[in-house]
Amino acid sequence: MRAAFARVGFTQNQVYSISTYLNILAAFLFVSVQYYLWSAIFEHAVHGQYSLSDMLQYVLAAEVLSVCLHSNADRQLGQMVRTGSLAHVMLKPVAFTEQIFFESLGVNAYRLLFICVPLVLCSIFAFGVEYHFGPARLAGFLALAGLAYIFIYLFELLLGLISFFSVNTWGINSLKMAVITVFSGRFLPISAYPENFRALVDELPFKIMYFEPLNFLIKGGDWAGMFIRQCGWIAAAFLVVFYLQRALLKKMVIQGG
Amino acid sequence: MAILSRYLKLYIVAGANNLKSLVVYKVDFIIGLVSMFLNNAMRFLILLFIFRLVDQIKGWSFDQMLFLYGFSTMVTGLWHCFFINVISLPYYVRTGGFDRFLLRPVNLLFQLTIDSLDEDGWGELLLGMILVLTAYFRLELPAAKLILLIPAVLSGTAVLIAVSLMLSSLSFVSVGGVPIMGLLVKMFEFTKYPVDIFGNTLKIVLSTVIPLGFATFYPGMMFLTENVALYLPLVLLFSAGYFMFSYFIWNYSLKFYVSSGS
Repeated sequence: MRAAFARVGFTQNQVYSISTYLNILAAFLFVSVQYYLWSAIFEHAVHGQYSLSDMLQYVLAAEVLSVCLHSNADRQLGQMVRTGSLAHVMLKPVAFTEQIFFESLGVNAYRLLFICVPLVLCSIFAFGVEYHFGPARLAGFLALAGLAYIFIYLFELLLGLISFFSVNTWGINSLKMAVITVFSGRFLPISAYPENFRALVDELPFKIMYFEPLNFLIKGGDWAGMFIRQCGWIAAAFLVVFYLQRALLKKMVIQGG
Repeated sequence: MAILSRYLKLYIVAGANNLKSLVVYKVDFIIGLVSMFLNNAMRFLILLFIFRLVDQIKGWSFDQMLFLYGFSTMVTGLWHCFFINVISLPYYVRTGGFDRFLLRPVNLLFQLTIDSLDEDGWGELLLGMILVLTAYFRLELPAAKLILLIPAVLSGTAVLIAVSLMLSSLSFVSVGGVPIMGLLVKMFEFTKYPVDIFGNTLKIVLSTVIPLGFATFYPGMMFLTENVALYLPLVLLFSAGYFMFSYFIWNYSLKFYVSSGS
């Protein structure tokens, strides 16, 4: 059943082939903006832990993560609440949370193949970006990214539950993007943030989404420490989502179709 | 003239309907506005962090980059408020909603744009204005030039509309499943920075084939250089010409439209 949901997610994307070409074009455009922007910035000496090559690897890998690491749980749940289809979904013998999770795995497998692979290939062959990490580093990164996926899913589920109160899922989505933009290291390694702001970001859980896996990939570091921290935040997020969901479903009112 | 006033009336009716739907969901409207503003402000914060690392990028000072970034945010904000529905065309084609437009005696593009006006763009527009004005005063630009912002922003927006129009015409040819939004977001990234940081080849591409340089960089040059007499006519003529060209392409692609039948 779970594999079936993943297959549905994968094949939903496969219908129109022109989109594959446009995705390749989009990847090329993205890499070129990043390549030229960072090359221009690094023309003037930059003080920091990241060299130009490190920075390019970071922003490109961050893009790869952002393409694959989202479950869309917030949007999907919001849509289910707004249209009332949540009623049907809840009648199924599978929890709707599970359905969303496994469908998203399929969607992301598609995106990994058809958006990320072109992006990485384009960065290597068109722009000569070199990726320096070895297989061990990559394996460690993949484990951390896997946990980040679960955390992001829980975070999005939490936002989706907010749509029980407000039907503006687009607004909630923007809010999510705002949080991820500054607190997760999505666009810039947190180590390059100003000192006092970095101290604040360090206390928040969002850096486990992007910064910690990516920084490990490029710079290495205390893998076990990051792993434990991620597990801790996931457990906390799980409890919040679990109890909020239970409370909300008890009081739920379905909008008539 | 009669046609113009008829279209104006239609636009007002559509705008009023849109406003009414906002009043129904007041909290949602405010959430959307604030979060869109926040989202853009955070993107800008990251740019500030990057600028903390260097004092100039390829000869462009912080204030000049701020001006271009703000200008880009304003132009995309305006596009977002009034013309974002152009990129929903794949949806209309796929669901058969486009057939409804074809039956009405009103311009198709006009119908498409007024079918959904997006209030979320207002936050973007506001942030853009704040950034542009901040940069304007920090650069101590002459107050008399401020009036030029109006033609500059309008022609910049026209270029964005034209680019999105061309992309959306693809969905007449291929039945709908074109992920225009993702591509467009990536394209609009080019408008945030000076065109000349992108190397010579891309600079030429961005000034001709995909003329995103005319969305912010060249209009911005009216303010960042003394060459108003060169840039003002160049920008106005180019954006008008390119807009008409894209509209021609859009109309031409329309011939390939086949109803999905659903």
